[in-house]
Amino acid sequence: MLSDITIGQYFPGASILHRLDPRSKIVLLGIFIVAVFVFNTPATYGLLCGFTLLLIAISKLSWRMMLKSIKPLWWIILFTFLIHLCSTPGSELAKVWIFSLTWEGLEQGVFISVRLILLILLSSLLTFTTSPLALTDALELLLGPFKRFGLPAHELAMMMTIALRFIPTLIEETDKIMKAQKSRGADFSSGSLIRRIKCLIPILVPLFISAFRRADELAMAMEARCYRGGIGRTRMKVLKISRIDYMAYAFVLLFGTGLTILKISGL
Amino acid sequence: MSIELKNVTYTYMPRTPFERTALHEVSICIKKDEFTAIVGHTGSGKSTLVQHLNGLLLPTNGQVFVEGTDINKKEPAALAAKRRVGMVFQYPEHQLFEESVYKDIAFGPRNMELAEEEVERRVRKAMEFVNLDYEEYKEHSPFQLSGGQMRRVAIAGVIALQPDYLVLDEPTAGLDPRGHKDLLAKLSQLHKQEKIGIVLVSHNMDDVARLADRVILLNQSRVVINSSAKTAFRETKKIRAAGLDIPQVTALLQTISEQGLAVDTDVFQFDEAVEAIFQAAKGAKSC
Amino acid sequence: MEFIELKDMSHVYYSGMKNEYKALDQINLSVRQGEFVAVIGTNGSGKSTLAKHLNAILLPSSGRCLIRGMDTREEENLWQIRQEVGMVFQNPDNQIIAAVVEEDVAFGVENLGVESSQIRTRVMEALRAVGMEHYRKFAPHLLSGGQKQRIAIAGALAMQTKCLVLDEPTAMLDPIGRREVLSTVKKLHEERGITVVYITHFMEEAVKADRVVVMEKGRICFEGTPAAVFTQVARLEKLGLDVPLAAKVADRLRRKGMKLPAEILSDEELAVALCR
Repeated sequence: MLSDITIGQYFPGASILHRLDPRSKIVLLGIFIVAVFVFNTPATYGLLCGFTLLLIAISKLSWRMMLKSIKPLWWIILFTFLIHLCSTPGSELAKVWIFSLTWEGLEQGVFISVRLILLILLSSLLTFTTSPLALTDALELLLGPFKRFGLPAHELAMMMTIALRFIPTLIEETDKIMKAQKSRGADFSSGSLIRRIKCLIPILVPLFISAFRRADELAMAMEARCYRGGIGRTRMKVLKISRIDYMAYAFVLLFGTGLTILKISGL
Repeated sequence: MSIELKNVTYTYMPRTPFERTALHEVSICIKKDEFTAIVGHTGSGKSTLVQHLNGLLLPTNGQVFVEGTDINKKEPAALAAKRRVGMVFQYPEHQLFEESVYKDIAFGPRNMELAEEEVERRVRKAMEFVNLDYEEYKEHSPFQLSGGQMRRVAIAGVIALQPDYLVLDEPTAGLDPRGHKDLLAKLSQLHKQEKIGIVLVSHNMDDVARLADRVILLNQSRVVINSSAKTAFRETKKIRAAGLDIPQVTALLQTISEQGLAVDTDVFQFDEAVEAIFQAAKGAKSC
Repeated sequence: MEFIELKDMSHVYYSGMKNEYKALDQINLSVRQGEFVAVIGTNGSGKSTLAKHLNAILLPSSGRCLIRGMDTREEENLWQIRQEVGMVFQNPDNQIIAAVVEEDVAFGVENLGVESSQIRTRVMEALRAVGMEHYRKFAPHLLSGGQKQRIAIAGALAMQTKCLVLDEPTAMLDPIGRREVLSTVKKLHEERGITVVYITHFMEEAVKADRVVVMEKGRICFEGTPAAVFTQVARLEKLGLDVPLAAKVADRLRRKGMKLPAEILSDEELAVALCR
């Protein structure tokens, strides 16, 4: 199960999506998220779905990976679907036990599920085609203007970079600790809920202590390599907006206009 | 009295693009009265193999028997059999979590639901064995101890389970020469006095030469040597092909022999080697 | 001027508190530019504490630590010292900051404010020097311990460091990894004249140095060439340290009455001596 976690995963490639400036990708993702909520007619949903599928095809990522990214949240999607199906007032479709399933509920349920799926897919597209460092660089630059208001943009970006880098390492360590405690008779899979929560202590305590130790050693290593915060730091990879980005912005603008027209005309 | 693996194969992440066979048709028998060493380069399958010995991993194919009981069946007898195999992982001090040394060592016995007097007895015995004074250290926080002491607490925690077999994965990793020697001496003591079947996973052929009765060599997920130590060390080619080296003592004797002094190279222990060289040098008039 | 000069240097941890502990006691040590010095000692001998003074991570409680004449206690020297003295730590994982090899090697150079176009050149050159250029796009958790340590070395090289201090770099590695790291360091020392201070308790590594310094309980016990140091078998064994096998065997043979030349370190030297 631990190996199913695809968060922070990056799949290098050379597609257009890979080559877009990460700042553009973050901004455009933000725009899409808004679009997914604002445009709620069947035609616009259809277009948004189609567009997402087109993006996935352009990215040349494996469809399996995209489906895998939905996997951890499938139960939320199902739950949301069922809630809407059973609790939306309207013309009855069927009656199951005490719940009245309605056509409107079905429609709502489907739309909301599609929304969730689109959100997950689009976010995954971002992380799968953008290296963690590019993401944090982009965030640092986008949040840069807020530095004057006291936002520690560089420090936040550095924290994210380090956190992402250590995710696989910490997963491995959790596995090792679990095995060691299991070998001493710890049982994580049976017993009451309270018992199972108590069973987490032999895993969490060593993990936390190890994390603190790592942080201490890492800080020393960073200082030894002349790290002194964001001032005066240069970057090997300089982010540059290029023609592809302008094209992407233009395309999204057109697409957005089209969606707005569709929505206004009631489709 | 043994742990037996019959045709054990283990595949990581089957039916995915990351599929990898870590063990291939391994059939071995680990005897309680033998000190067994499992050697191989990183990635040869050593860690995967030992995790089958106490049921942490289930074979993809094949069976594992501890004292005749199949440990992967879902029955109480299987659970009891698994408990007879204790395991010490690399850098065991990383698993310490309790507020006091006593409580951490007691974790294992308490999981076995033993009476509190029995738990105390076992903690005392275990601490004595690893040379940590009971009265002085029982209330200490494990995290206030030195690295070497923490490791001893961790090992005591496994010994307190009083297993019939003890598997140790590179127990001397990160220790200085003195700590290294002391720990190995303790393992030998455990085997000879407490009659515990020891399985040592190691890279260090010299340690293996000094302590092991039986050597199992893994190369790329297969067993390529499974014999008495003496026989194993003669297989220089297989050992080198597996990315390891023969004991330093043997290599030294080979170098001396190549130089022209007729010395017995079938020796793997330091004292015997010194004696062999002494006798050979006395006897030879010239090379 | 010596590259490193430690003058009557002491270090006390938790000074003034209940668990006050003197880790270094009046250390006097000089390291010439281009020298390869190995520092050996058991755990608790103070060798790690000593290493951390060399790039001003720790400051002396008394005495002085001078790097190319710069006193580590003067704050304005701090960054210059840390650029000239690069450090490789024991835990391969806990010194890798980025999720991609080339980005990690670039980290130090970026901190120095080097111009962007220059950074990539330095990174590639450093990776080539340690033989890891084909791994530049890899994620660190896919690398072996030995490879991770070579990345750490590359990170220091990219900063154009003049001295490498390695604090038990191979303690957590398997024999293959240990060989990789030592041969990389040896090569850099020979080809580029980099000063090396190598802390270890593996004597097969210390044997490759120009000079060996033996520490115990915060003091320097004795020092000399590997041959001079490692043939003092009884003294080293009393300190809890290991000795090359050939030296140990030669020592025992001498005690049994055999006549052998004084300085025997390697198997070959012993074999030749026996066949005279």
